[in-house]
Amino acid sequence: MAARKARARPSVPPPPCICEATRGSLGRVIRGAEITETQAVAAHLAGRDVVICGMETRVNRALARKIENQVGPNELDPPHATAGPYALPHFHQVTRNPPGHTFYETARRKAAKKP
Amino acid sequence: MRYFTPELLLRFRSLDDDVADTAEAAWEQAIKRYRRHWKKISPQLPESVRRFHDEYCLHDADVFGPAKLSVQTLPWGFHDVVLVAQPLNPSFPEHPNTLLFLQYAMAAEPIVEVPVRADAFHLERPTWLYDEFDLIEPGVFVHEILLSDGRVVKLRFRELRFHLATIIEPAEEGRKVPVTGKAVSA
Repeated sequence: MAARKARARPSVPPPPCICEATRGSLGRVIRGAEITETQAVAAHLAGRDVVICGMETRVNRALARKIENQVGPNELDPPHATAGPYALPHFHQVTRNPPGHTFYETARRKAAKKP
Repeated sequence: MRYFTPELLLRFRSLDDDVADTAEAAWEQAIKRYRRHWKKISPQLPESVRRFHDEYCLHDADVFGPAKLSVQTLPWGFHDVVLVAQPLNPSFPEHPNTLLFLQYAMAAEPIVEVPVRADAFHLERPTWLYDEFDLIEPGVFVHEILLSDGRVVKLRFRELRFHLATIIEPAEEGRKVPVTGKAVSA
């Protein structure tokens, strides 16, 4: 009996994860502990930063927007040339209050891991 | 703005993923192009401009101005223009609770335009978004700044000076604070 050839399954990228974030030199966003969406909203309401890490820019951006929308009216800023080569795009509240940011990874830009 | 244009920023902020993805790629290209441009012109820029560029990131800073200094503000130059920014970027913790005064000795009248009107530009509490320097001719430079309310400030200048000032915070409870020449108890 001929062995059945395994069918190649289409690879599905893992879902994005939400992490606490701090900022480092050269625009770096340093990812901390993984947290839930509810915890991310609470962290942002307390003025802290969070970062969405994942393979797909669209998925990351959508999740970042969803978190930020739960905090209040917001806007999206692309990375700034002088913030450093490792800066990430981010959402923040229009009023800057609370002052935290929701960063997200893109195909080209990634958060740094804690040393 | 030649690189970080308001139009490109609006496309980056689009809710249409196709538009936003294309804009993201274009923004990355704009950063690369601007870095090449900066590398090319920076040897011909004043030392103060290079220092400002290398040491400060005013993204998200609250911005007041531009404002023209007048004859009454001697000893400033009669045609100097100032911008005041309050940096908020915690990536630069050496500048907490400070105001940065940017003072330009102008080579031409300042230009303030709103090239694109859109709801995405919020009129309240303008903040610094993106900026670019350029060299017009030897000794004449331009600084263009895109603000969050959609304004593009274009300053053609001969000299840039900047001053960092520390904001005076309220005293802690129980400490005496001199106010208008008097010491008062909190």
